[in-house]
Amino acid sequence: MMRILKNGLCLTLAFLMVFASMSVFAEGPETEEDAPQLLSAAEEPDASEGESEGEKEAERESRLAEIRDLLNSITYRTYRENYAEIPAATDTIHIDANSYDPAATTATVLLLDDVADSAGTVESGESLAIGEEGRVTFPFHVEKSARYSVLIRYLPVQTFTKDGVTITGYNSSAQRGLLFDDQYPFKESRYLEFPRIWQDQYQIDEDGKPHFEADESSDSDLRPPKKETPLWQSIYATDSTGYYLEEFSYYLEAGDHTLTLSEMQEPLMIRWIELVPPQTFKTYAEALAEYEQKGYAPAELSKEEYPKLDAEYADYTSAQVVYAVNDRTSAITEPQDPAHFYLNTIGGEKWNTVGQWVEWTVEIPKDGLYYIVPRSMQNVFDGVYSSRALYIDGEIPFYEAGFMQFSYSNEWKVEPLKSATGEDLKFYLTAGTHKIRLNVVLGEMGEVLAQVESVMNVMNSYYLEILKLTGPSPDNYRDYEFSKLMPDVLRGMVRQSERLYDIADQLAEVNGYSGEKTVTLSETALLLETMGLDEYKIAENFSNLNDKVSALGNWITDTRYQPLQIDYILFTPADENVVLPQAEAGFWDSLKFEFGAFVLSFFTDYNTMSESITEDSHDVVVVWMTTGRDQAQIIRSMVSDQFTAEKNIPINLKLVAGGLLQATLAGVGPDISLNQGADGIITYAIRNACISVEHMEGFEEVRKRFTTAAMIPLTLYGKVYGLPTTQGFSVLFYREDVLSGLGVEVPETWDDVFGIIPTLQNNNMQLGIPAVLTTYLYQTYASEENYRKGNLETPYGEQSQYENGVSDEYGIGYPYENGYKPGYLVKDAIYVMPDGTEFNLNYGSVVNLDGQNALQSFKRMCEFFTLYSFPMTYNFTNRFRTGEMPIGIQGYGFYSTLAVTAPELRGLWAFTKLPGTYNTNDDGTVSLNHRTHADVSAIMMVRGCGDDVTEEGKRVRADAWEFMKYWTSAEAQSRYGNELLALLGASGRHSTANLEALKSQPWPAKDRKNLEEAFGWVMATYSMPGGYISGRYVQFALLNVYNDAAAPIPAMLEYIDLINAEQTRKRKEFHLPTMENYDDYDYAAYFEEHYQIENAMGGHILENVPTLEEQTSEHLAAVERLKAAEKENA
Amino acid sequence: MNENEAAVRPASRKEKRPTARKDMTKIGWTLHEMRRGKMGYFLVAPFMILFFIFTVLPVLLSIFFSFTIFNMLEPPEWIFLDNYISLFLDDDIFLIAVKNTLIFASITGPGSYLLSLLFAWFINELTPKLRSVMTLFFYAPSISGGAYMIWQLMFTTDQHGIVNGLLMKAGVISQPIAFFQNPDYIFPLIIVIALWTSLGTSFLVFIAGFQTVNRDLYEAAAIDGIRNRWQELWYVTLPMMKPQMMFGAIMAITGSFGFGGIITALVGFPSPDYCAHTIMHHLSDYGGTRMEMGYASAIAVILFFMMIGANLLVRKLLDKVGK
Repeated sequence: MMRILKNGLCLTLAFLMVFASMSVFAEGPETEEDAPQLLSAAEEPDASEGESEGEKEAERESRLAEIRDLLNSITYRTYRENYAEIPAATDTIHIDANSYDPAATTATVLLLDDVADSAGTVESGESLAIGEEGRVTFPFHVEKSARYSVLIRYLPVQTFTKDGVTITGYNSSAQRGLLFDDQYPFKESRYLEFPRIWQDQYQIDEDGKPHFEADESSDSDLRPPKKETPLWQSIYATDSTGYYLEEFSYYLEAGDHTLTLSEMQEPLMIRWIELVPPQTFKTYAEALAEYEQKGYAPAELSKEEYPKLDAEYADYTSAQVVYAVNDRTSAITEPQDPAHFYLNTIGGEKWNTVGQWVEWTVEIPKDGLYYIVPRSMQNVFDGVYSSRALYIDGEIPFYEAGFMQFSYSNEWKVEPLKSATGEDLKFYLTAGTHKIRLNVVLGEMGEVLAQVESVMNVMNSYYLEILKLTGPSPDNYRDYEFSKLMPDVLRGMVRQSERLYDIADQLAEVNGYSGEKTVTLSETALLLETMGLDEYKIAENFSNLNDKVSALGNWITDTRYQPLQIDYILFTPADENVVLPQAEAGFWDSLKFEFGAFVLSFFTDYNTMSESITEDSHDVVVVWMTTGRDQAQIIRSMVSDQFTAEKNIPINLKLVAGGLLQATLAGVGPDISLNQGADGIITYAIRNACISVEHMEGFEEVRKRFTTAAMIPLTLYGKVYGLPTTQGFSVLFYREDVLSGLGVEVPETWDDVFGIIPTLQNNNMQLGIPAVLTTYLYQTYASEENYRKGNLETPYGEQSQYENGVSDEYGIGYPYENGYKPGYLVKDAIYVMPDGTEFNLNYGSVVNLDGQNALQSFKRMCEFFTLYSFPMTYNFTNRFRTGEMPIGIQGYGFYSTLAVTAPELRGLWAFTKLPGTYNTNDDGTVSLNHRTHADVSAIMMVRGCGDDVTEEGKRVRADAWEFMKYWTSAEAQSRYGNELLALLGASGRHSTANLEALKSQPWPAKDRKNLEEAFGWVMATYSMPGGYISGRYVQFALLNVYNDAAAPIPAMLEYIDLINAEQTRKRKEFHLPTMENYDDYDYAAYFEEHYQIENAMGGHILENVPTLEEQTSEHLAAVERLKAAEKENA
Repeated sequence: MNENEAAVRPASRKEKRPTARKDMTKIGWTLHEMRRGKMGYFLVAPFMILFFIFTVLPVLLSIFFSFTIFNMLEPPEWIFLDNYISLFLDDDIFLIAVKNTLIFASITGPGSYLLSLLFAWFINELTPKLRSVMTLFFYAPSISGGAYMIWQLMFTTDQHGIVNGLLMKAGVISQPIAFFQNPDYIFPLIIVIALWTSLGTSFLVFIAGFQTVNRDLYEAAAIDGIRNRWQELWYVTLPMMKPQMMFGAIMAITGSFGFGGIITALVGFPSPDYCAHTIMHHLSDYGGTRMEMGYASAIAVILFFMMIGANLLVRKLLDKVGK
């Protein structure tokens, strides 16, 4: 199942996966001529239009220089070939951490003495803590030119403090780039990874046996939390993608040099860096000879004495996503039970990325030769094998142990660890405790993958080159004269095809058969050959080229995953006569197990996550959530750890799949619904199905946790109906390399956007604009600023006045040229809440999309699709990767998607706030505003939650409110976010609405800054009764324009009346004032009924509302002022 | 005792004397017959109870709710005929929906019915093995659940999509056509897809029906003067298949009136300018999105009566078969 999902995802996403890389991965001699000059080295960016601040210019220059470097750097393969002749070093150069050069160091650094790790090992001497930003440089001297490997002793700690200076990290692995003499010797040197170390917190009882905590209600095992346990580690600088099995060896000439660690992600602590001779390993043959020579024999143990370790109780892992999982496919997995979910294996699909290791400790009774026999299963990718490297006590015993293979099977296997050639490996182990570590490696596939990736990148660059000339659908019958215009492309295609054929043959050898895995390669090679040899075949096969590149990308992604699941590891004497235990259960055992499981499934309760004991003073608060089971387990453990333990309020968590509406109607609903979309909340609110919280204790404080914008979709006429949990918004994603290749800057304003369109279209590229209401709203709101009162800026984290941050779709009483409807500011219609906020009950009775600015914005939006022919429907991920759509607007969650599915694009893309609009303020100044629209979901208190009248009922409400406060607190949200990352990997980012929690999430430094900036511009619209209708009709209007070439503004105006009619109808249903009856509506009675004037609520109707004449004259005055200001600024 | 009674006097003394209808009232007689057949009632009871609760009761409740305003979260409010009045007099979209539904129903209803019949008739001629294979072949689209999504893939608005890509390559268009978003194209496409998925249960029933016709009748008919296959079909086969045809007709009608799910999946909800908006969509719009269950119930009641009407019409037509 996961495989199908993964394949599907990869297929759609991997269309043109690494297209984007183009000449990035251009290698030395082979492709220098081939790589099309999308980024000509002599490209100078144009002087910017008017805003030439020296700083900005310089920053951009350096950014461009960086991109140029990245695109022109060589791969390690080429580097290695270049320097293969140089002898390996024979000495070790030791660089102490405190020998850094302060002058050349821009990072925040701290020197700490005698740092101990979580196991108590102390590194005496001074260690250097390096902050997230900036670089550190170490000078050193080399006696003789040679090749050195780099060994770094580091401690993955999160926080360091000294003398009042604190360096804090998050919890992703640290990354650094390694430079020598301020240059990256090769591309891969930019991404060195320093993983953190984690420990599962399972329990160990008195006799030393570990076990997992069981859930009280279902008696299944609960996944233990992971604790970070930093340990001092020495690691080699090695390829983080795993393509190269050995560590990097750098060529250093004799003389003085500097070594620099450049910024990437997370702080890092180093004790020393050593330049050592490259590692050499003895081969297995040599090891066997050694065993002979030393007279080692298979250990003499009886069957009961074989040491066995349960793989699910690992000592340490290097990734949060590798944890104990439940396996129910086999009856003899240890331990197993038909009714309960026991955590009986480790790994599975999540243990799949290079660099993830798991370590166990084993007690060996006698010296001797052993086979290491895991019970394992690799059932995810057919036709490929997974590889693992074995470390015994931190060292790889011999070369072949560095890449042992586990081939595909959909059954468990019990086999000794084998070499790549299929030989059972014998290991010599002394009596005593040993540490066994299995690390994910690509093994022999690494080289193959690297090759295929480079071919793919080159193909991608050819695709773009041809695209520029022919457009996405070349004409089959036209002679484009490829051989004249791009002869190198044609030659290159033939060459790449030869490479692919070679690789396919190589693979067939490695795999032992040529099957589905090589077909993709052969087909692609054939296509390239066809296109390269006959230029007339290029046009008709162009889209095939497209497909094949994505197929290759798909292939690479698949082949790069190395999943493996392990149940237990058995150590048997290295004797062929040893009988290994059964791998799978017999027929009857399986039948018994499966049947038992089936019968028991009728009795097991899968919904209740936790049943808390009712305390005398507190009733249970029932919470429903519609998340996945894994997330639900996280929430369950969080709630019992942090909430119930502290406040003593019992929570009953239920995992449901919907049905909230029906349950509420029937009166059997929950007290709290954990994740509800904002639209749903208002729907419930207007029908009195949820309870407002603005009068609850501590609300003012709680409100400060979120941006004003986040609270807006949850508010209706002064009452707030929930607390936001997630907040997503759109940002602008762009391909730096493609844009700088075109000489185009990232647009800051919408005018800029129109300005870059010609360049894009000349190169047959596109802009990604979503064809939905929100796009139109960005443009509208941006322009409405001049009419807004109060602050225009909403700096990140600062809470401005409640009024501001409002971008209204339903402006009543906001003056602008047409659409102004005076008189809605009727006396008695404005109510003032106890905290001072005001609202007008007429708000929402008409829509102001017929205002001048709104209509102009709509027209502009339609022009994107009609005049400029940008696509309405497109797969942004694919096109972004190819580079066809180098710039586009997407929700910021897309960041995680891209980071996970397109790691080849690392360093080539970024995101920033949306393009803005210039606004003229009241005082004549001009400001730029980059509003983006927020998408909020929230936690809400449902109607059935106690009642406000009885003592008991009040207590239940107070308790439920406590839970709501807890759930949206920074503590809970950041823990939830981190656990989600641990559970789902990098793609599981939680777009929390809590500002503090968001700040504490792990983001690379540069992206964090961009996110914070964009966050400051988030706005929201109110949800009004009948609000669903405006999105619908705007879409109709847009489609009319697109399909039938209707004129935008008349089309829109037609629908405005319909929208207003529906609004009126809905408001009548809820007895709200409408545009028909607003002047003789009884406001006082409404407020009396719903807001209880003159009682504990404390609100009152606003007096002193301006009269109609006053309003009109004020409006006209504002219009005059505006016109004057615009004339000035024109 | 008269002779009748003597003739039927039971041997055993315990058995009751059979009574005659004229001895009691209509109600009495009904109860008596019910008591006599109570085993039958017991056997039918499980199905009847469930059928009542889940099919009949909702229909009755729907009729009840159609006279109220019910927003699904608060108790309903009685407003008598207001829903119907606004439905007929004030609702433009409803008229569009009725128009769309009638067009769909009249094309896809008889269309799919005749198609099923025709294919069943053709397949009937084949050998049994081949027949089962071909049956599977034709029945597959309707059991495969989401297979109609293929159409969405083919006709996507993305310029790299299959149809758009081909058309653009052939030079027919220069900008991708939004097939499922353009009112001009949606209708024909939906009809084609509806016919494609419509070879469903009725198809199977027809095949079975063709099988059950007594072979002797064909001989008799030949003797009576039937000259060709067509006459055979009209005078012998179809009249013998009346029950199956009735079933097929009802399925076709219910299907075509209730045809909405596929449209939503392909075109989105609502369709641009309500061009493919059927009564079912209108119903779920009001029931689901606008949360006006009372109004939606009124629509449902109207739909119910429309379907009953259509059924009666079809029954009359089917009576004419064979005459």
